[in-house]
Amino acid sequence: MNYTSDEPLASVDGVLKSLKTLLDARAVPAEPPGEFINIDGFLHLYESLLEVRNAILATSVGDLNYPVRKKGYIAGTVKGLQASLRHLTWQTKAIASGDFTQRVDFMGEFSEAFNAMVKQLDNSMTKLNMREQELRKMAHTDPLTGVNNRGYFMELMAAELERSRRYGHVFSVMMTDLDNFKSVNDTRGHGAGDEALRTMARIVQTSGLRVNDFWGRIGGEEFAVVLPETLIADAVAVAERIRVTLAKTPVKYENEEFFITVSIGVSQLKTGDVQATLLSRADEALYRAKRTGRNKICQET
Amino acid sequence: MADDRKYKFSWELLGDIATGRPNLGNKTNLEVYRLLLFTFRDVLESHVGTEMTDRIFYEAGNLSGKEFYANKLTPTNDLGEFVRELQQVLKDMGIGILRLEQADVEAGEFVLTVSEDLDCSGLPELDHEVCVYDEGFIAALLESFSGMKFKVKEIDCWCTGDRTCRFSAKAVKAEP
Repeated sequence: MNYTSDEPLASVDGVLKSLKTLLDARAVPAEPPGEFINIDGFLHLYESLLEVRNAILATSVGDLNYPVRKKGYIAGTVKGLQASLRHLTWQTKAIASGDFTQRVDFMGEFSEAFNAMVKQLDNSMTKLNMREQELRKMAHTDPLTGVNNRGYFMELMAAELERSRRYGHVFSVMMTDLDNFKSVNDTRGHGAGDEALRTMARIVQTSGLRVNDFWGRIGGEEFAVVLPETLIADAVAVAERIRVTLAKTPVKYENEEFFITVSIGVSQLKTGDVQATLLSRADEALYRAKRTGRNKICQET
Repeated sequence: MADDRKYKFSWELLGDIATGRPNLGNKTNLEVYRLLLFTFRDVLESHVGTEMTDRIFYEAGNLSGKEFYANKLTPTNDLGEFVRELQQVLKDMGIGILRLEQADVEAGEFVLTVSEDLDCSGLPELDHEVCVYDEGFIAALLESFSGMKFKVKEIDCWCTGDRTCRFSAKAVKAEP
């Protein structure tokens, strides 16, 4: 049955009231008013308004996925808002995963605030990352010589031990100790001793170590060097190069020059070795070098 | 058949616009684009019917998207980079404003909208979606990005009374 102008105006008044309810009332009836549903276009208008009302309500409380199936200007505008907010959600997730290049340019004033926030986050994260890198470097580095400290050297050595087990490689270890270092400190002062340590560090650094070789200062005047995939004979040759170079390199301190020497013990990984046993054998060789005259190299027996 | 063809598209055939149009440059009125598009559509439809016309437009959009990706975008495996650059290029070239609503790369499911688009924004309301060319274009972009085949369907269109064009894209799974 279609509405005709012969019907009472009360029907028009009722239609308007029922539609106004959808716009204004806190709650709406579960079903559209039965007395009007046969009026041409009423049900479509009623359902459209109801869907838009529900979609706006859902969006206002954060549900961005409320399905809007109706067409038309208002429904389309709600869909546009959903699209913008869903895209923002996706962008925010991208930012949360570390993509600080996300920018918004379709949400007016909000875009400016959002973009400013992302830039600020990016700057803060960059500073934090740089600081973290600095701290990590500080935690791994001996401040006097700039080489790996004992803790980090031990970490690297543990990893090398694991790698050697996995791939069946051998590696060699050098333990070095500056000769008569105490007397340098006692006679020339701690500044001179520090310079002697820095000189030793420079000599090792420029002694032709390979990319995979690593080393560290593991005690007062002790340095240790690990040479992956290197047999003890080759390690002794590297040690000899360091010993000879150091012996003829003057330590320069406060307009004076003096010479220092180093004793070195060398060991090679054996089956069943752990860090302690391998280092201990290099240490024993080192002290044999000390006991038998210094400025020399001994290898494990 | 292939040997008989008069024209096979390549990006170079778009020509040297700077040289060819020293005074008018690279811009034209959007009405001219739509005039071309919809007169083509009209004549094609009258000759081969609606279904075949839709298919032709989808395939043309697909070819266009493939060439567009190859010539205007930087290959990447990162969805964020892909979307960001695509948004910028579409905006810079006045093609539309892209928003990605949902993205599941592994499942190959996307929902995206293009507002203020070339083809239909501002058109009178019709009873059906018209952005078939865009469907093919978007499918090719996603295919080029992901390496997967996509089927794209327009689910909301300015021409059906919506304020933006929304597309659903799903990867076409290979038959087991």
